Amino acid sequence: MTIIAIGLILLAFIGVPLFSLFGAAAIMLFLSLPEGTWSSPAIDVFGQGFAENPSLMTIPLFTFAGYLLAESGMPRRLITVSRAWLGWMPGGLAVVCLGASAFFTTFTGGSGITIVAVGGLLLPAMLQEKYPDRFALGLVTTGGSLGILFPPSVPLILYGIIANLNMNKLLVAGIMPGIVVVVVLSIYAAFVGMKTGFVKTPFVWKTAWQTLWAMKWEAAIPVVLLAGMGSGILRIHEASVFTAVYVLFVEVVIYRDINIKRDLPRVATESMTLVGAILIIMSCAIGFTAWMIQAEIPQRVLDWMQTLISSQFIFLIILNVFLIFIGMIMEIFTAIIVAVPLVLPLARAYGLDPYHFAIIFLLNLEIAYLAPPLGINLFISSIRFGRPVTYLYRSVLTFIAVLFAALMLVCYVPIITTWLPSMMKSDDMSEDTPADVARNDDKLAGQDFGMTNEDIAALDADAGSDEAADTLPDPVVDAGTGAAPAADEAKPAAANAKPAKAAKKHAK
Amino acid sequence: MELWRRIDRVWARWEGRAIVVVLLSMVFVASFSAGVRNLTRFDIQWANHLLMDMEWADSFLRKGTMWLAFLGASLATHYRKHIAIDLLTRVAPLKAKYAMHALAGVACGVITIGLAYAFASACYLNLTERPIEYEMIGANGSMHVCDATAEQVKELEDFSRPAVFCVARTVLKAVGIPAETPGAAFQIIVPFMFIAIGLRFLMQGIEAGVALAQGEAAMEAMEAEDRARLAIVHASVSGAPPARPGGGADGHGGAA
Repeated sequence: MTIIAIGLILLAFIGVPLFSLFGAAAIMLFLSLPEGTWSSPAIDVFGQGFAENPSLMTIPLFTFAGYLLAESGMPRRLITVSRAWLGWMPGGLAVVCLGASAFFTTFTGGSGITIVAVGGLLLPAMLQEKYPDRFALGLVTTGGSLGILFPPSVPLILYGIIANLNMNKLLVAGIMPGIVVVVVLSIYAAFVGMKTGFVKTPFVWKTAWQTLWAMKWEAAIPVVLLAGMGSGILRIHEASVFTAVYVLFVEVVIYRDINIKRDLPRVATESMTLVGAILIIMSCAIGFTAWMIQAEIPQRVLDWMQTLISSQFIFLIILNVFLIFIGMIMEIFTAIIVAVPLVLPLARAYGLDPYHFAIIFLLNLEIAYLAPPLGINLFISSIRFGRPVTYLYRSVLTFIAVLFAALMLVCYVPIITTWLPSMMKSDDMSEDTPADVARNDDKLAGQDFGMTNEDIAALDADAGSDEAADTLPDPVVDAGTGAAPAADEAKPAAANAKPAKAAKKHAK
Repeated sequence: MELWRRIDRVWARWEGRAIVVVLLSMVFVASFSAGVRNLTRFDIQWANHLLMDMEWADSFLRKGTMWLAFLGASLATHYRKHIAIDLLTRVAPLKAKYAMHALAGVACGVITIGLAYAFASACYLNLTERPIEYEMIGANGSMHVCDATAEQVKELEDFSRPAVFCVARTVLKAVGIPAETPGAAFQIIVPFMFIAIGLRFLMQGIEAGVALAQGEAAMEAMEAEDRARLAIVHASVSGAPPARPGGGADGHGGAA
């Protein structure tokens, strides 16, 4: 086992794609079990954990919309609007960069496009306005991951799917911490701006309204989404469809930035290439995490942690260091897929609210994007702006310190995260989580596949409460504790049910 | 090798077309279904009926997502945009880099073919399991509804045969694939695309190995070719920079 693990790690370092390593690990680990077969790691992929997960379709649709926006003239319009509205503030253009990056990353999911699209436009302007080179570079590099806490960012949705949280609640949970991060960074930007004697763009109502009016169709997206989801008119997957259709219409028909023949097929294939790269890792990691749960790895880690740490305060510090390390060596989507099943039970054991923990998790990954020596944004900026990576290390250090301050605030003041979700009524939770669907299906079939008695008792106790989704076992936990037996049990159950149903269809 | 490249390009073009068709169909079906669902809030009769007739839509969207995922993953292999931790290849000299590319390509190819077998096994289990709603009792015992005669089907009240699935089932049966349920029939894409991905990785590994054997000029030529191809891909995303072979511009092999 150790030799296999070392072999896979070595393969990882020479560039073997992560999906195949997770797949190989899952196959070998399952085959080492007495009841394991070749199909064991793949069975769950066709079930609620992946193929039958109703929330999964939001990932391609939001990504498609994000790529359409990136391809259109939206980055330029966004910067014009931000400049007109925020340019008067101390640190004018720096604050503009933060606002525009946060808005843009929300839709592009922190995949690095923000640095290229928004940073590429703003860096020359900032240098022209005599911002220090190192500060400007650090700022655009930080902007690359700034909006991942805002709905409907893809990392946020992926986290919700993996952790099996109520999606509407999770999307709302990110808003306040996201604002805190932007405000803290803006204060720092204003401080630097005042020190360097920034160029102020005077605020003119007419110009501000004119620029906003020019971008009204795109500016309306987050407003309509939040209103639609908050009022329960749009469920999460409907919101993703709405965004895709709306952006397609606006960019093709109204702004005409996207040519339906020339650009649309290319944007569709490019966006789905990214989606494929993410989802294939997810599909292969499902088998791996199922084995982890079956081998009780999270439980063992938890037991070990509890012998060492009893305080939530200390746990959070260790967790932050661990997550930044994970986020640095892995890319955000992989980190979510792999680390969430492992650390979520720990967070629950230490009494953390699942939504609070989700935001801490993602904020750490946001910082990890910048963390030297391997943070992903450092390399994108290095290539895009032609500066050595070591120069960028020094550029981002202060930004990391500022982000860390925001992280501490979000970590130790949970109300920042939990306030908005707690305001939502249970009626607003119109999204059926995979666990809800599984529970309904299982009850209909008169079976409780893949759930322990404790799980069922917990579900029954919580039925009807808006907390039900939060206390449900993870899909991966289900997979681990009962996936293979579930598949085996399903057959006799179906076989027993057949005669009764078949009798109805008996041809005379 | 040139023949393989040509096949790979043509295959990628068809995958791209399939992606566009599936994605746009999903957008259309999902928006139509969401619109109808919201109309039912106002208790509009025809909307209620239409929604009931569109029960297949949710299943279609889930299956469509799975298709997009694996078609996209296969295309990511073509463009070398899979997510990987390529720490060593980033700093290694050209020869060592190509040795690593060759090893990584072949290793990943072999693993992915193994994954194809694992997913084919799971898919076979699902394909051969006949759901209750497709089972009926004929003169010779239990049978699939698609195997029933028109008279037998007519005798069942409120029942119609899933005509499209029955045609697909016959076609699949002819090529040796049993398909007892439409849901499982859609899953065939998964092992199929794993085979495509595995073959692509194997060939990429062999290509890197051949370039390594041919010497520095061949490796430089391959680098330039990859840069040019990826520049076209990346330039379309708002002028993003070109990526290195075996990895994306982001330094993690990820798609920027």
